[in-house]
Amino acid sequence: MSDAGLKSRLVPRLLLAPAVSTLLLWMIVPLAMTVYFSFIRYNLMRPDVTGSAGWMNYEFFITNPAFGDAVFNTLLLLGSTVLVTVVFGLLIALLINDPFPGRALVRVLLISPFFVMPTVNALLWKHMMMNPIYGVLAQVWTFFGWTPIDWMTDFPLGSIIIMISWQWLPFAVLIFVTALQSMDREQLEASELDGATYLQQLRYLYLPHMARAISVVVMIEVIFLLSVFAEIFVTTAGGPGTASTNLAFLIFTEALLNFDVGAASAGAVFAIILANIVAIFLIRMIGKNLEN
Amino acid sequence: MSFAQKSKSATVIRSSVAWLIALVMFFPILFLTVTAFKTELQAIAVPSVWFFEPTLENFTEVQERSDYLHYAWNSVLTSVMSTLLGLLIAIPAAFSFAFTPTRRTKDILMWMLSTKMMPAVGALVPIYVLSQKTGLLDTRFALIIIFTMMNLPIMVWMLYSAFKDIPHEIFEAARMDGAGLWEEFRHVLLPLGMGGIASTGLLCLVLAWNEAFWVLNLTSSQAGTLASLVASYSSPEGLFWAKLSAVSVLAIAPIVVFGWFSQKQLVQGLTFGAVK
Amino acid sequence: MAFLSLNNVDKFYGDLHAIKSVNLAIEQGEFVVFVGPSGCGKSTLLRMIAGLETIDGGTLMLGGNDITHVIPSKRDLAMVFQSYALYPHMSVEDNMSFALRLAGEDKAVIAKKVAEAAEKLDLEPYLKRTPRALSGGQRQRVAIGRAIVRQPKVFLFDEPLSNLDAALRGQTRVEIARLHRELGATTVYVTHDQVEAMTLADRVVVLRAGHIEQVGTPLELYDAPVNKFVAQFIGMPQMNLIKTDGINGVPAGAVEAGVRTEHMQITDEGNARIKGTVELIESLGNETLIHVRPDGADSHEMPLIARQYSRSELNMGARVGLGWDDSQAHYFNTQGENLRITA
Repeated sequence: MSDAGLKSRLVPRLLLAPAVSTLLLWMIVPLAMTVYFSFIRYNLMRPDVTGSAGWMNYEFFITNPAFGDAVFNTLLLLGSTVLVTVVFGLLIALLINDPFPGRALVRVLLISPFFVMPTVNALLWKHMMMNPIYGVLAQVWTFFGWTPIDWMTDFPLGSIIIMISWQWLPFAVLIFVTALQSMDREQLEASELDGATYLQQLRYLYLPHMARAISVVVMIEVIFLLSVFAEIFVTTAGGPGTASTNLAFLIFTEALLNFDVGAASAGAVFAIILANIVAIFLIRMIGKNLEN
Repeated sequence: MSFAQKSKSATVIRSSVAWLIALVMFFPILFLTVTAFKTELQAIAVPSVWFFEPTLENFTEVQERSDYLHYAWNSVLTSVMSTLLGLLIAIPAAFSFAFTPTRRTKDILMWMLSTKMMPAVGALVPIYVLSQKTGLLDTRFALIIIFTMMNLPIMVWMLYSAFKDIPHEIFEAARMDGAGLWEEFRHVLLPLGMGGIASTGLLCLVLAWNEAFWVLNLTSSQAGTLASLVASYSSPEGLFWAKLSAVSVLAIAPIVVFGWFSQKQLVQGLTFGAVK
Repeated sequence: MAFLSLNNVDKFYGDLHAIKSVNLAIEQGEFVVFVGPSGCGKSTLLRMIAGLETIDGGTLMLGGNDITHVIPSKRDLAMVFQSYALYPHMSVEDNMSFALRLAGEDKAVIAKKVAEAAEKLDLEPYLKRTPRALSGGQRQRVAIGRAIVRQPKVFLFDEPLSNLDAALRGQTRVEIARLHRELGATTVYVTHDQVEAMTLADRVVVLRAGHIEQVGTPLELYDAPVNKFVAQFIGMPQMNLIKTDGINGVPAGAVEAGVRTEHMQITDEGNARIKGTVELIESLGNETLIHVRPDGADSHEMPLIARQYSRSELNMGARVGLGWDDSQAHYFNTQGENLRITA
């Protein structure tokens, strides 16, 4: 092979090498260790018990009644948050698309929750917003003469969905607003001449135009929401019972609260499998939209 | 519906609704900030107090009790260093993907993203064990490495979609002008990709600053960031709202204010190529 | 030995044989134009000469050196891109001096060379501006200036005028011709516009589907196209093609006659070779194009066109005859080869 030809093939690969190799390490090493741990007896409190565990850890993890709940909660949390943020994100983006007095400030206010760290987000909502006695929501409920809701006890997962939606709604709005700005004005005017109503414009012009942006929002949110942890950790701690335990939190309780690394690793393998199922599903479904 | 055709009252209604939503969305942050300046008694008063003499007592107490600056410095150091390290690794990769795409480019990109979908908790035990064995538990170094790896897929993806918009021919022109790889980087990619690089860096700075999972699980007093400082103020009874608010405000203020100022820049790259 | 020579040059994209064993010798100072329909490989060939595409077979020689696998920056060629590819973040001056600066040239020398090029191209008032602040024509001149400054062995142009409007295209074409006269530099120029090819080239290379159909001076191609493809590609409006069955006096083996519009004569019906009806008359002032539909032709077939340099008295619908002088006609066989050339 000639010098130039070799170089032209080699250089792009060399540039990729650091990213690909570190990510590969980052993926393979923990994965291999997790799989290994999942087949041995490994409890931090019982260093004397060792040896192969066979499928015991998996059995233990699956038969744990919390497992089914955790899978369900993980998917419910993901699905509802994505739905809420995409729907409201689109509505708000359409609302603030045209100029109005103070639009720049409105944008700044709207985007702010995205920068709030999950731990603060969770504490803020748990105490100051959702506390059944002193919380702002309780005051609002009382003002309208309703009985205040004990959010953390009665709607633990719902409360967490609200917190996370509050955090991710700004992200969706931002991307949708940017996408709307590239909407073809002439296309809209042409459709007006064709007699399209605003609803028809939404259905036939805005939505198709937004398809790519929606895909991106869904993709990014799935990436971040499959493993929600901090919000649960600082608010409900997965409770009451398992009502707000997702897979990430269940594995955490096994590993660091029950010190059963073996069972936790078996759980992690499940989490990885679940993530991959969602990933394949997702890439099939919206990967096409991300092509150029 | 073109702008000109909308009646004036419709615009008034529309902007009022927009303002209302914005205020509702921002209200929790406002409330948190106001509470930080209250006494503990005022903080839990029902109905909420809005007019009072602000006190700085909570802030001084937070600093005294738990050395805010130590955690803040950890946050700054880990987020800035991990962002720089991430850019260093991600820029060449994104450059390669954008300008010498192969049949497998899309697959590699998707694979990178899929590593991000695996929940961090899946890697928690191994990483914990590894950090413990190598003595990296509760060190800023470990956090920097972990934040870098955590953000790398997103960084490559964002940079890739930004670089893709730079016309190919400009690089070819530079090559014809005698530019080698380094000169292409230095004189073409960096200046023309600066917008994308900046927004990628900004987002990763925000994500690293706000990261809680690894911080809560791998650090305690040494390398803890503001995320863990806040968590340590959480008491099950939910008492001491004023101090909790003060520490929260201290934790989020730098990044929120930073976010406000960099908002325009940030959004440009955040679209991940979703907007042509 | 030619200055720039392509010897059996090949290009593959996977299974696609994009450039098929091309041979071409270009002399020093020559202006060579590649033309052909889109997808014929003309730009690919140019980019292979530039080094922007690898050469998968054969050799490329420049001034006696084998540069087949030399990287672009070491080939000593300059290229003007279709999109200009100016560095948007650099001033005009910096754009033009970039190559020299990279080469570590002396500052005073750079300044002098840039000033010279700017003068030649009327760019002096714009040296401090960025490309964004320039019009399309000015950007084009900067792109050319960037090439000139380097004094390369060969200039490469990739459809440089296609982003300009018609008036500017004509003006810039004249300017490129002038520059070539002044600099005497070897130039390879790609275009799909035959007017550019005819007016600029010392020699024109007609490409189709990755191989060369014909190489020759513009008038050679016009007067003696080797086949039907070249005959139809060069000349506007296209050469008339007439099925020869039923027409008297055609050479043996001919299936089609090719007659340029200016050689097509309008006669009385009488005993003309072809009879038909006038379908359209385009009066352009200096010339008149008369479209005639031959009797028995399908409506989707192209009408035959006769060009006259006088005004026409005919009306649409008039019955006319068409004829031509055999010495000015081309006859093509079933392979499309021009019998006059191959015989």
